[in-house]
Amino acid sequence: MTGWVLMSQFLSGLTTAMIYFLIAAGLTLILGVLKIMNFAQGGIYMLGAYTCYTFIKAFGGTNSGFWLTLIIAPVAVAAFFCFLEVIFMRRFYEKVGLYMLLLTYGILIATYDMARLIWGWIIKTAPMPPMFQRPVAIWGHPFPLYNVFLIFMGFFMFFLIWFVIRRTAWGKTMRAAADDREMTAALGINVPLVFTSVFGLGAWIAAMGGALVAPMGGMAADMGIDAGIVAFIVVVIAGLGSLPGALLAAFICGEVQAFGILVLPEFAIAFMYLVLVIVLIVRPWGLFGKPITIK
Amino acid sequence: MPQKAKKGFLTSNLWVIIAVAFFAVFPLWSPVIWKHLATEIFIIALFAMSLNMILGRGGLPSFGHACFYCVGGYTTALLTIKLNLHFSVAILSAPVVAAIFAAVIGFFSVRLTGIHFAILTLGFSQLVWAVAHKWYSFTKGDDGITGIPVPAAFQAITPYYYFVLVILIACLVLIRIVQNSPFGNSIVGIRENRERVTFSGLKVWHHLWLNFVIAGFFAGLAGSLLAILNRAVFPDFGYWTKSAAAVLMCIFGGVGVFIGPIIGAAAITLLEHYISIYTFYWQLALGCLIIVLVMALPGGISGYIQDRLRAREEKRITPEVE
Repeated sequence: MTGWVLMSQFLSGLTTAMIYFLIAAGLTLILGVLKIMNFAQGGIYMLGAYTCYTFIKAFGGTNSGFWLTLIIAPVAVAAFFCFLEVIFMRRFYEKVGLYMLLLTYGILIATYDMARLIWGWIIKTAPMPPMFQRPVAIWGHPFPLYNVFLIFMGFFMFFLIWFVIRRTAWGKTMRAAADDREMTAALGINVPLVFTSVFGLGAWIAAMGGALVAPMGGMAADMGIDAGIVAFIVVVIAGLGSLPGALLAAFICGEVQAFGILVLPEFAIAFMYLVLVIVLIVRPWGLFGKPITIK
Repeated sequence: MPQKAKKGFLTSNLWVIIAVAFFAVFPLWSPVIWKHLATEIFIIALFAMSLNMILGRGGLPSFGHACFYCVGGYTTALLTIKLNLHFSVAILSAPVVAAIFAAVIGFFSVRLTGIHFAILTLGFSQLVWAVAHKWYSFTKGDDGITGIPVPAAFQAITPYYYFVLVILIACLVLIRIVQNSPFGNSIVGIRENRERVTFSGLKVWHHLWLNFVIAGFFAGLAGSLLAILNRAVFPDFGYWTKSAAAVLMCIFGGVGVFIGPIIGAAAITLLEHYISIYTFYWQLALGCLIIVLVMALPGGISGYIQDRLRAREEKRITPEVE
């Protein structure tokens, strides 16, 4: 019996880890290329979940409606944030980082109330698509099929992002712009456009995370504020800008939380922060980051 | 070169005297709700001032300052309720305990700069928050601790208003003295050019650490005062949004000006209060306001006023060039 308890904790930790990874992956991408700490990331995730809810409802909760939603909802949210990036953020890349922090914080709290204004104060739950409304058997024990799908999607997204960054021309320009803005611009590449596209991609990943979470449980406007902080922890443990690191760090956070509940149920969330603090003290640049010189 | 006229104590501190006189007579004619709001603003102003010692003077973006606020509040609550200690003991020990926390957190944090500093302070403060939020047997978890006993003299709002006002003024004088001391100047020096200060033989790390501890001390005092005002503490005192709000206040008011954080704290608290009377969605309004502010007034309110004044002064003293 205990074997199954550990296994089910492991799987639920893995499910949580995949959600964390999706929020953090967009953040780490934006941080790596645009060099800004995007507080609004949690807000994007939250809007992704709500938009998914609206579309699933509009399509009548069918299977094909769900797949269509997964395509449309994150793109819609990403488009909205691209628009914000062009209007507000574009002119601040060269200025003091503190303003950018405030700007994204302002966007975060504005989206928080925007969601309550549009979708109301009551906790919403998107219907589970019919094809996922059954458990699968793992070691003879039932486990929700949707969680298996979510774990699969996490790995799928990881490889997709990795492929885009490492194997496409778009990814190459991104990495070039991250390395040296001026040189890239001098080579005739439209750097502001690249930045907007990176911000859009980061927003798309977070919104996808939100959309995938939507059928799993209730959503509230403040889910973005909590998710944002988790994303930061994951990104910092990983090392700023590292994608494989984000996957590993999300895995650590998810599992520490899942097994922490077994050991000391009161302090399950505290464990994650403890991991963060230990990592920062021992390796301030994160697990996969480049060492920084400390004076 | 324009000769700066030597002014007397009265004229050079005219605005300070007017402000103090105004707040001294303020409770005489204002309703209870205003006095309560003003007391809250004093406390938040002290909190923002303490943050600005790190943020504005030290140039280190701390995103975990609410931690000391929270620790100060909980120290007061736990000492008065669990140990039945006297009010004065509770209020005096709160900043000391907060300073001890600041010493531990600062020990690890001040070695870092920029985004890493922000994240590490954020991480520590969230750890403290998580413990306060979950440790039901000790901190009563997310219910918070309510019913903090207050001595008879401070039951009414007016005496407590004066009490907080006096403490605020005393703290501002202390902070001013610290900032104008050689120690305070070397903090600014470190902000401007860490390398050069290191070469001049100063122990950068010690200075920043001490600065962090002093800031934590004042934040703890502010937390204690707020706990007594509300007769309650909640773990959300230490949540990261409170730290972010304090950073916002400092920048809103202007980090480069001594009273900038006070102006920011007053402006944001009043805005929150008055917008929330008209609509539930005050965060939307505040968010939009932040965006407009960052776009339009990058120096904050007081930074903007100071620039205007300086421009006028320069216009007055430099002869027109035809």
